[in-house]
Amino acid sequence: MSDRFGLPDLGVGVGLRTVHFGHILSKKPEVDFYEALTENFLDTGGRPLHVLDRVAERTPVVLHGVSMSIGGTDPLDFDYLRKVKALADRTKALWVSDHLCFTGVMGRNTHDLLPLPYTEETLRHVTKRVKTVSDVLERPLVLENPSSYVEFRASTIPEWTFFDRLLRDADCGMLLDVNNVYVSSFNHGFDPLEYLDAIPHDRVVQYHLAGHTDKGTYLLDTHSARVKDEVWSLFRHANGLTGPRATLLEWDEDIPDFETVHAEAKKALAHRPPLARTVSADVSALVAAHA
Amino acid sequence: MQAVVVHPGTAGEAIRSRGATRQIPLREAERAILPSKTMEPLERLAVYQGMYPLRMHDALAADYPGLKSFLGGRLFEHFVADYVAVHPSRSYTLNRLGDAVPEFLKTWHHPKRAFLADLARLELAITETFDAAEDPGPYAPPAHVDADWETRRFGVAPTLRLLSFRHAAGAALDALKAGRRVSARPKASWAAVHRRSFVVHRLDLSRGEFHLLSALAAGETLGKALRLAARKAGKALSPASVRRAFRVWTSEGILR
Repeated sequence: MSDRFGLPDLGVGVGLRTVHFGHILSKKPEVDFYEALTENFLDTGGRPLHVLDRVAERTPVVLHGVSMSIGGTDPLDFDYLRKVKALADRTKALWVSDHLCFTGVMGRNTHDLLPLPYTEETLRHVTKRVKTVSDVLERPLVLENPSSYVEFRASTIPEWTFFDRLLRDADCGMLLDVNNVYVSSFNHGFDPLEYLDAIPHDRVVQYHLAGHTDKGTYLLDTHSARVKDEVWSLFRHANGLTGPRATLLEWDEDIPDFETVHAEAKKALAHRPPLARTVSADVSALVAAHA
Repeated sequence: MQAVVVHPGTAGEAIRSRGATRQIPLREAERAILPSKTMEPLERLAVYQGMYPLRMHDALAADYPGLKSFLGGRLFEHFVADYVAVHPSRSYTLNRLGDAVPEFLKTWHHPKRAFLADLARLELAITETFDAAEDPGPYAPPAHVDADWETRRFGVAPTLRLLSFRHAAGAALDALKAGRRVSARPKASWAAVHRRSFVVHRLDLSRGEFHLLSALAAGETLGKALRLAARKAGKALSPASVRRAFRVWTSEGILR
């Protein structure tokens, strides 16, 4: 099954992290694609942007942000959005992703992915904002399901149903973080398979995989460890529903050397087919085909 | 929820705080979050509340490693809490969270706050230089200073920052990185910070060198810059020290 936007399966990628810059520039490892954390490359003309430029010359790049606050009640930050678009154009990013959450109100940014109450009012609000953002970015906005630790009494719609309706109403893509589904299912007591079965599979553009930490009474999405077996199992199930999609491993705390991270990412190949090499052989052709 | 997340006390104190109750009455707030099988609503909120100071800490520790090293872990945590209460992030990036740290430290309750402010000013300059737009060059040193040297003007690296301190901030930063003891006593010092090929460099300067380079960076001719430097430093730089300084500044790509 192809996705709604005809976007390519980019294979198995890793997050572009500062601690690996030297290795990536000197060794030029064969990686299917990189995901860059959007905000780390805005407002800088230094080495991070230089590295991103070099990487984007030879490897497909997608952008992943944490500050769009798509569910927030503050006005959208158009200065920020224009900078994101400029960065996406510069790196020829095929898509831009962020999270279904809010990050702050009244001008403040907590730099956390705060959960939304899933209501009809929220759905209308977010749908409108997603459409606006997609217009500014001139490319699909892809929204990730966040891991969450609270549920609001006001919520009237399950998260998976909220996603189903949002993705269709706003015509946007989904970054399905399988680890987040697992973490939230434990924290809130829902069936993760029900979640995976219910979302619109043709809207899934990318997968995230990561490790989490068991805090006893809850699971915390720490990105600090290897992917757990339960998450691999869910990933395999989801792949059966969506077909192969760009798959990325996140490792953000206690980051090991690049080869360890890349090897962990490539474990995904036991659960999904490898990338047909012709797909990403030419970044420019790939981008032009989906412009 | 934000008012609770950013509150420095316990989740119980946070939900009863004026900031939180201004947004939502206590009774409603207590009912807004559902319990889970294993956690009460306040415990669930506390997960977010616990992550906020860690995130702020990590961002400031990355930009101010010397300050953190000098204060020590516990005191740095207190500093972070005090700082973000006054200067919360209002940007999409955490890279700008620490912009007001030097100014904040000038009035922070620490007996060595003037030294801390100097140290932070140096670390902020290093961070800002790291993120500055790339210097396209050329890095070529200026041609031989000929007979018209007095009227000669020089270009400077666009990333150049010239800093003067009441304390030996550069030496302190070096000592903190090396794990050595640091003197926080007043001792005037001067430094140039610039970036070349994506690497940030710091060059410690004498008082005379600082004023000479400042005048050249302001576009003054070499002759006038030397006179200004002599006046501000209280004595003229010797010809040998000027030659030595120019050799270093041109090889570093500061002067061009």
